[in-house]
Amino acid sequence: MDFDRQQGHAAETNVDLKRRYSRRDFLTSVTAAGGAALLGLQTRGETQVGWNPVPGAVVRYFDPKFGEGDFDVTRAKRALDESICALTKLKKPVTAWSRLFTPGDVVAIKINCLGGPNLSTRPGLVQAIIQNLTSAGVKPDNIIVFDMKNRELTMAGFSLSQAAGTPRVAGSDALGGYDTNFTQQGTVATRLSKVVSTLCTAIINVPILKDHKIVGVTAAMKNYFGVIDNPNKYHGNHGDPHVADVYSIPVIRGKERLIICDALNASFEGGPAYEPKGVWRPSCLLMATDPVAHDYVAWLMVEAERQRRGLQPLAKEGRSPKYLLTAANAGLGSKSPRVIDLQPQAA
Amino acid sequence: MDENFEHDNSRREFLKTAASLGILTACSGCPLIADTAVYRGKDYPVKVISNLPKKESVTLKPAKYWKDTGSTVHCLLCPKYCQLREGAMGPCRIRVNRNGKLYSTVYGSPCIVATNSIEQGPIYHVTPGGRYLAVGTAGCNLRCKYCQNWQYSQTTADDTTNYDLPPEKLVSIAKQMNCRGILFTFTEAVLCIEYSMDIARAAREAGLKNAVITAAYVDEEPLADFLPLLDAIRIDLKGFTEKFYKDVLAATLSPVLNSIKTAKASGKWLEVVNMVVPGLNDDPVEFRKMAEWLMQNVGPLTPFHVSRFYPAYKLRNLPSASVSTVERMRKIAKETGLRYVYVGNCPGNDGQNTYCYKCGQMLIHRIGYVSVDKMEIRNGKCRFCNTSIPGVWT
Amino acid sequence: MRVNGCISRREFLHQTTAGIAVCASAPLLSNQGAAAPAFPEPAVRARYWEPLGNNLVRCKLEPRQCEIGDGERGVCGVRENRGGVYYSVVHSLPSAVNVAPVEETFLHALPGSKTLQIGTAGCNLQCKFCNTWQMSQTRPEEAPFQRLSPQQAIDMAKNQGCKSVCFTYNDPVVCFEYMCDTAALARKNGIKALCHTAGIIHDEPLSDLTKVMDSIVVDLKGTTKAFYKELCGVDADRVYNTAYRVARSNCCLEIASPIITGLNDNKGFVTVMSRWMLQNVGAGVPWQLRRFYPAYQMMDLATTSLITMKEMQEMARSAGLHHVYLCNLARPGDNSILCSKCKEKVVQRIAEGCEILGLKEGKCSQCGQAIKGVWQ
Repeated sequence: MDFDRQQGHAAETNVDLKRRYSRRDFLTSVTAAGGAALLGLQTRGETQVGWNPVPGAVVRYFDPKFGEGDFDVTRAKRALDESICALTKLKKPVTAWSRLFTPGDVVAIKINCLGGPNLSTRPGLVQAIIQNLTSAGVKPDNIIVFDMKNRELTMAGFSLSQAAGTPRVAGSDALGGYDTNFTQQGTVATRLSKVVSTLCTAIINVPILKDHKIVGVTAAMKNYFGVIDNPNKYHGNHGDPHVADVYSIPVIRGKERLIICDALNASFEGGPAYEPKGVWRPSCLLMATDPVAHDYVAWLMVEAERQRRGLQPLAKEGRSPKYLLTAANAGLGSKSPRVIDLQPQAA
Repeated sequence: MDENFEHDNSRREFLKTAASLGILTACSGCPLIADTAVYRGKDYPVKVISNLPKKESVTLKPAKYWKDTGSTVHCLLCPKYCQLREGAMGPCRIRVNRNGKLYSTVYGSPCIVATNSIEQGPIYHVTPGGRYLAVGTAGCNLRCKYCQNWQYSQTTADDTTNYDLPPEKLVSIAKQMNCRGILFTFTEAVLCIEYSMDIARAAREAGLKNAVITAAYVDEEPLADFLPLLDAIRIDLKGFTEKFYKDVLAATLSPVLNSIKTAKASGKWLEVVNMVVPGLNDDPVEFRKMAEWLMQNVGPLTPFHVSRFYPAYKLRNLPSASVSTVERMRKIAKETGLRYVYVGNCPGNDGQNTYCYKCGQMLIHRIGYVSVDKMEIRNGKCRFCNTSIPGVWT
Repeated sequence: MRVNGCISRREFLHQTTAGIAVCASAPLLSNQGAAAPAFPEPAVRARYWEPLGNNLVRCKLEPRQCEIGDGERGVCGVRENRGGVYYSVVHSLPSAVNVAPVEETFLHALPGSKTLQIGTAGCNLQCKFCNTWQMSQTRPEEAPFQRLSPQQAIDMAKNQGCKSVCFTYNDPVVCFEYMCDTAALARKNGIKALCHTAGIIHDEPLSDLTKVMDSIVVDLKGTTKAFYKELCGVDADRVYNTAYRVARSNCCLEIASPIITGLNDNKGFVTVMSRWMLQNVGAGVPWQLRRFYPAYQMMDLATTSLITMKEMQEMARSAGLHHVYLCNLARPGDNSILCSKCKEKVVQRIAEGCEILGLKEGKCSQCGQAIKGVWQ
């Protein structure tokens, strides 16, 4: 990935442009990605024709009836369908999903389970995503739901499974572990989870919206700290520029197709761990293809909630997410999001 | 044993092809000439030795030059400095990590053994026409796209037919075959350093000479240990840009330059070879820089061979270098002040012969690749004007 | 022809990029059944930390003072907060255990003897030239590991004929509890305890460490803050202080410096270092110049030239340091110990051979000059 070249294009935040770069960068990293991944991306290129996403578009779907502890799968699926239509400006959800994913894809769903049972990606949402993927023709065998460790998935309420004919649900530790060699990107040198580097051809990023006591806010980009083997090394200087560097690793950036943020519950203080007093309930889903725009929206939501509760803005606490600006300047996405707010039609 | 059979077949075929194409001088060694009688003056047929004991399986010998770094071993033999995890083999396909220790897979198992004239190296100023026992093992740390021995160098010892020849046995065969010494060639002798050094020690005790053909892509320490055991070393300087070394050989230039300087400083007989590959390293400006570097660092008396490229391995799409190109390069090298510049792979060319620097008389006349039919050097001196000619003549 | 064949072919595929593409998914999928044994749950409480309420803790082992939430780990990656209690994850779970000549790490400790080298996963530095990055720059789950309690380590050392145990490979500060427990037990069993550290540690744990250790090698890698910040990712403030304090404790001190091409293989480095050593730790402290081999994120640099290293050795000697050695060579050269006063050879150590010529009770038998080190 040619970081400098991208900085030259900092002003342009056209998502199309971003896609083109990421594809080329991705191709240069075929070594890590492997032939299967390459094939997947090529087919994807064909299907993408005609889809022009709005630069910086972030869809927010609010539904107070999503459910209590978990999403109601039907409602979540409806929310996903309406969101993806709004995002892609296509009429039929199935068309939209199959523009993003083809039957040949191996789709990895990167969830976030660090917050335990109360502040992790909800299984109901993952269920709804899987239904949509299969509707686009992706084989259940080719869907991988993963985070760092089996243990964390179990604690977050997922039941592990590697049975044939069903989506695989497991930690990186049970899915081949990590690469033998390290990948270097900017300030970061790390070994990637084999799920990301070799197994999958596409990633759906399903983070949680959380306050973070070191980097400020953690949502889409920071979620990829869960696919590297040494995240502990990259929290210095409020994660700046490490978060942007990890995201811009070619196999990560080149394979990410969609971000769906689980904001059923979110934390405004005391994150990333679960702190009961620091959690509120936006009952919302966020969907985007631009991680920077997405994380800006996430940040604004956290700040708004902090203000409502009479807490200081993050900047006052010296932990505003500086990495977002770094990422925007590096051309990873737009720092001026266009928010599309949706809610269910009168039921 | 099926596989053995296959290997024998393919090797014979390769040899036939090689002979018919006339590719006899290699980048870091030369392919074998089988069933081709080549003579030094009137005697010495060069041939493969038959009935050597074969090795049934690969054996491991503890390697030298490595450090344990806890979860890996750090191989310190060549400038790739690989860190090998448990069970892994280096890109040289020779050295493996077993149970946290580094082993060589080729000790005592050469895959090629033949008698050969030393001119095939090419080494021109050492015992002209002398018969040597040429020996090579599988594997190489370089990935030269024009390797002429890729069947041996770009594979593992598992996939070649190997002979079972401990150093002493090899030396006794050399004696038996009436050889002047051992020639480490075909692949990369410094990578089986444990074997090479043991052979060299035994050969020296038996009164034989040791000559090595190498690309010298090796760390300072093993080279410094190996040099005292040698009589002559011939180093490939394959190009003179880091880009060439990176793109064509998957290596770097600077360690090779260091090795050349070290070899010269050791006082051992040194010759340098460059093969001219069309479009890749045939830029006269770069070539002049190389010759000037040699002039400054190894002096005018070091023989320099400019060798002609023939299509091979992954560069079969390139044309062979023209004789005129090679001659032009030779002229450039001579202009910088180097005294003994030879052309290689140009049979019958006058540039293969050695002339007295002072009186201009022809001292050694070479025919074809390997045979010498005139030798006018007496006691290291020109027979006509008594000028001393550098080299190892006896 | 296939005795070792299967292995090498497979390894060959691993080594080549082409191979990765070919064997990308198949072996991964089939491996799932035979997953490596799970990494054990943390069982040993860490030392040097304080609770901050709300299940938060602050680590007080080293100057970063990481603040750690529930379920998280410090920058070292091997100390974990579980429900407000701080644990050492790698206690008794080393990643590397090897019997080696003591000369690999120590020049003035039990010459010619063997030592049991132990290292765990994790490190509080992130040096770009780290040659043990496979274990030090990763989580312990991703590194190899084996169970080896302090008692087992001591037994192993005894059985293997080692006179010492040596914590090295990663920075053993991060496995402080394991190291101290083993060292205390070693002392009871008449075995010496050694460690090789980069010296990023607070004063209090350091003074506890010097009480159980017999000798400590402190790495002084560079002379500027920028060097440490850029290449090792840490603030250098404590490093020199650590060497200073060890020199004033009952524990012996050796200084080691990796000599890295183009970064500190120059005269300036020797000048500054020798002046600092003369003023702060004394001329009698051994200084190891360690050869650098390209590794990790510094594969592009050349290996340290031996000629440069010899020049640096000469310079340091003429600046007044008594014991300057060239270390980390593939084959050890001449590392004989000369008496600092009469220059008589007290220990002859050439290549792998070692012979004690004139050293009695830590003194030169010729002139009686005391030589710093662990001698018996």
